[in-house]
Amino acid sequence: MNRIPFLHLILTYTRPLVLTIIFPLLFICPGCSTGPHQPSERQQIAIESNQRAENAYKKRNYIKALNHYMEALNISRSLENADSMGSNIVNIAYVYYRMGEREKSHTYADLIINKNPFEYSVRYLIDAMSIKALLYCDESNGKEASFWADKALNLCQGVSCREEGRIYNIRARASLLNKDIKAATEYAKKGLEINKKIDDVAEMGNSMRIMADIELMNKNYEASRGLYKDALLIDKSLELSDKMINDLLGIAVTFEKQGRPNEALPYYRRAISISEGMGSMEMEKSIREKIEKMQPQKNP
Amino acid sequence: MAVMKETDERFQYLSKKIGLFVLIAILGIAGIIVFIGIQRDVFTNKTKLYFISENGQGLNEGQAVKLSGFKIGKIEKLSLDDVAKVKVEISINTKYMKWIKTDSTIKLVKEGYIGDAVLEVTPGSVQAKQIPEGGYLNFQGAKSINEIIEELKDDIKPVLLDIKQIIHYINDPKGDVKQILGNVNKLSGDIQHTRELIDTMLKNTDKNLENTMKKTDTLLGSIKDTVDTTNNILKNVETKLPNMLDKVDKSLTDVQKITDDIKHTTSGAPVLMDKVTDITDDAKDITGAVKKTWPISSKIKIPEEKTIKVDSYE
Repeated sequence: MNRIPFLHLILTYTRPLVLTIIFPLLFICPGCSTGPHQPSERQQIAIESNQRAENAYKKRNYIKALNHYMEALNISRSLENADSMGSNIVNIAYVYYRMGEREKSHTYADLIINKNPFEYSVRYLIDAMSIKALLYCDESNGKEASFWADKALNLCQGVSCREEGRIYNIRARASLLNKDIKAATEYAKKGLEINKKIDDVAEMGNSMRIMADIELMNKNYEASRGLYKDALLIDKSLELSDKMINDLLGIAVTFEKQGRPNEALPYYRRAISISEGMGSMEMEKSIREKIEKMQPQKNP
Repeated sequence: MAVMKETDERFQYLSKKIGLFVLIAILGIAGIIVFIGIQRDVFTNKTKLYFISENGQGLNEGQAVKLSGFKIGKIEKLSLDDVAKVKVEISINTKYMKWIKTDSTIKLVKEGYIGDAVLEVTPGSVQAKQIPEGGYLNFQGAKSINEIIEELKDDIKPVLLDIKQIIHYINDPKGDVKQILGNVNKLSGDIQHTRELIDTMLKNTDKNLENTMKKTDTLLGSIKDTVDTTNNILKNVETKLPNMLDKVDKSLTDVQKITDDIKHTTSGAPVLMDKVTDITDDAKDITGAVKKTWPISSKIKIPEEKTIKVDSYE
């Protein structure tokens, strides 16, 4: 019985309170604040396309991602929005790189580097140069990869560049291609140090993997295996399946190189299992071929 | 005599019995003689006729005289006349005389290659009169082998001459026949060659045909399988189609009903949709306005385009 008069009281005073105090405040206060600039309607559409593309990219649907990035790029070009254009061009170049379409990837990266049709932000320039360096790494062209990585590193000097650790990693890979193990070790260590500093965990894992690769080349199998295992822990925590396969294969190879194929086999099998889970038939096939080529262990 | 009693019953009427027995025997013998006489036309009336032959070759007494294959008489007597021709006397059963006319002829013919010759009387013309008894028939004697050979010789001689000429003509190296034969010979050589070619061609054709037949067999097998499968499918379809059609028909009726219902139900849908769009636009405007309003605006993150993070080890 006591609740009813209380409710009655609330209902009686809420309505005049809202009408007299809260509503006027809502209409008056926009003028009091300096909120962030809202994008235009068309730019909003470009942003939505960009977001849809990102979702598709995360799902590895690269064709769909490309279509949305292209749509976003066209809108930003029509509005001559340099920042939006730079972002979408880098994205398109990177998606092409992931698809293995190297020439197209080069073409889009060159748009940024060649300031076509105008100069883009430095961060996009650094990204474009990094993509060029990665493309040359894939083409096993250590010299060109080093060239573009060095250019990116130069641009990073003096600006607060979060990409520095990543670029050092790329530079390390380029040095490995050039068989310059000493330089590769130095760049990888520098990369790991910077990535640790900025807490870029994914790139930390990359640094460790590169260092593991270097140790493998130096035939320091135990050290190599340790680094691969560290990288595996990071990659697993970030759920990076591709890199997990790389780490597992690296571990398996260290065992194999030590003449311990029986110990290598479980890692190969784990790599196959992940490949099957990803639906990557090619990867699975190549791992099985590696197992077949493996020398049987000699009994002590 | 005294031993035998004249009163013995067995000897009673003996003379009569013997007389009767002899009489029956005589009658039997007479009957037989009559029968034989009848058989041999002894008691038949006969008419004597004559004909004159150049010689008696092939003629004998008792030789049959026939008319149209029936024996009507025989030769009774052969004798030579004054000019050393043979006079032949024949006796003809009188009953057959009506067919022997004054213009009838008689000739000696052989019924077969083996056996005796017979005299054949030809019936005369209808207009001619019956020949009287003792009349002479015109005889046409059979030709002897020599005569026949002579006749044949006369007939064959021109033929043989012709054949000789033909052979000569054929044998003439420059003659048409020889040339034709040469050409035929050459032609047969060509034909032989052609035949060999044809044989080779046929062998190849056989092989090709065999291969084709094998392929055709396989193809026919496949076609048969396909036809069988199709038949089965058609049978199934035939069985199931009417039911299916009924069901489809029923379903279509149901669908029609449903669409009618939906049409009826959703007749106001476009208007409703417009209203919903308007409301959502209004809501968007309101939320936009609210987002821009302090202090909410400071809490809402403005959407921005993101750049994919480039990975150094992809």
